[in-house]
Amino acid sequence: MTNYQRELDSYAAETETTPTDMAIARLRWEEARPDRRASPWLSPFRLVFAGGMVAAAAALLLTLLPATPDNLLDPVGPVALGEQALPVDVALPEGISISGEGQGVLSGTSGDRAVALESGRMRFEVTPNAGLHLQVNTSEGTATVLGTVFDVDRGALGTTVSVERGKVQVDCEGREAVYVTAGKSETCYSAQGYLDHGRALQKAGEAPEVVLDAIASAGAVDAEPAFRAELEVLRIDSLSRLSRHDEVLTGAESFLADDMLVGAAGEHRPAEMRRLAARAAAQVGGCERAMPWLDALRSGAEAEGADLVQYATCVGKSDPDAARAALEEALGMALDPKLEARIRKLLGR
Amino acid sequence: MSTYPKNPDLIQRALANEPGAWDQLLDAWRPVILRWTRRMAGGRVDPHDVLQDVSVLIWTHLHTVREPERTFPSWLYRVTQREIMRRRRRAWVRRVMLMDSPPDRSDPARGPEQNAQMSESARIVETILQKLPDAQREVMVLHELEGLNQREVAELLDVKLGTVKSRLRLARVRFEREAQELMPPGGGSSGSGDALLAFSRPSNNNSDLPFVGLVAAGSGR
Repeated sequence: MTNYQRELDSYAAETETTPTDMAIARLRWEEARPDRRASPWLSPFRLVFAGGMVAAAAALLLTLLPATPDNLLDPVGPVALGEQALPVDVALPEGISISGEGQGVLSGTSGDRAVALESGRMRFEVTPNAGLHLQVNTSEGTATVLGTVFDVDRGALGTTVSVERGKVQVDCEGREAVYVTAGKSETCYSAQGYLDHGRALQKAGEAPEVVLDAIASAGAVDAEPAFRAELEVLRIDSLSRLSRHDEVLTGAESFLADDMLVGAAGEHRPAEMRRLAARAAAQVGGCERAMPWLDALRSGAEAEGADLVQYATCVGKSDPDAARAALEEALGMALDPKLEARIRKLLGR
Repeated sequence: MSTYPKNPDLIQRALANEPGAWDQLLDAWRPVILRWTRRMAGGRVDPHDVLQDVSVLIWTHLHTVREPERTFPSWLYRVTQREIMRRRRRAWVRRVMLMDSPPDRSDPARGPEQNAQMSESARIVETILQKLPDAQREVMVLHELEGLNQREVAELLDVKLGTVKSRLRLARVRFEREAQELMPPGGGSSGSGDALLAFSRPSNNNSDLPFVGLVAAGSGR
């Protein structure tokens, strides 16, 4: 890389900590400094209650504190809703009740609550027309509520919001917000959810456009490299089925240049990418463009029968011996009968 | 870490609750935490909020860190990263609540005047950094902006040196590609073009220290 160090230096200078920063930091620390070093069970920002203790803790708070706005929980900050997926049953004085089995963190003030749901299924009941505001957020999306009863289920495939009464706005990462009404549900997929959904559509014989559409928003969610790699493979494969050759080439080149993706992908994925690229390159730029890909497949002992036929076709005039050797090599593989017949015809047998 | 405070004694003194030790320890690391946050989160969270939370975690959990004299920087980095992620999620929720309101990219601690003065080129760098995958952004920030060498980055992130090298190479390629799109042709966004600093090292320099050499455009050096 060249030519951008000056911009980086400028950015570094402008994000450097200033004396004002330090003054603010010290002031804020002095204002909010905890009185003592807390044990892991009592930090100034989070009270941790294991599973079913949440109900008892909430009930105790409800008993001890008058139900005036902004009192419940606020003096101590967010409350963890379960350490593991254990029963949770919390009734907040302003008219929100939370029940189910799961793990999450409740925060905010009365009338403006937020739940960060980590896992499990929880049911939320919000008194209608009471000016209450509740968001339930996961890394895949957010449900914004205006007086309703609904369930949020977070699993490996994503977050599903099911509405029993009223209306919930569901905003999945990377997608337009939608309103979900009573009796309906909406799923914000995780990376794994997008992948499973896309693969299921492909397996069911849906058109590649449908598969592409289904995984189009997957880039907006956090994803482990292995899921990113498989989603990219599915995308490029779908593009290939649609004969969008330029995009296949660009996608395959990017994929193979990304060490993290290649490292996380399945063992055969790089070869599959090279194969798709070779076929796309042949369509876009003929043999000249395809040969580097075909050479890479051959040198890596990754070429399949169709690749060898393509290779033989490309080198047939300039190097008949190499073409013949490639076709002979292909005949040694398990082949589709039509392809085998074609190879035998090319070999004059 | 070459650019980070080295204060094993201070950590032990803080753990022993010696008067003033906690303040000294926090004061030593505050600038680092603020820089990490600004550069990793790119204005999407208030760095002072993150600092405050991380300070509390140091205060409450330092005693749980194993071999803190050796592992404190990487522990602190992980804690800071977690807080950034948590606050980014929250910021995202706030954005949803406000419906279509653009994210506030200004940094409250810098004041409106300073924010307004952030140069165009720095803004572009921030934009590009935020486009990088998290793993690439962090090596880019730690190596190119924080000045750690690659071995120190690996140590801080608790990953192999080869992983850092690979991520850094990908980050630079992507940064370059994005920069070419966002900055005027010929390199620097300021466009003077008379002297440009380059990422690439002189070929005879096998050090893994961040590049500090000067390449004068057109000078033939």
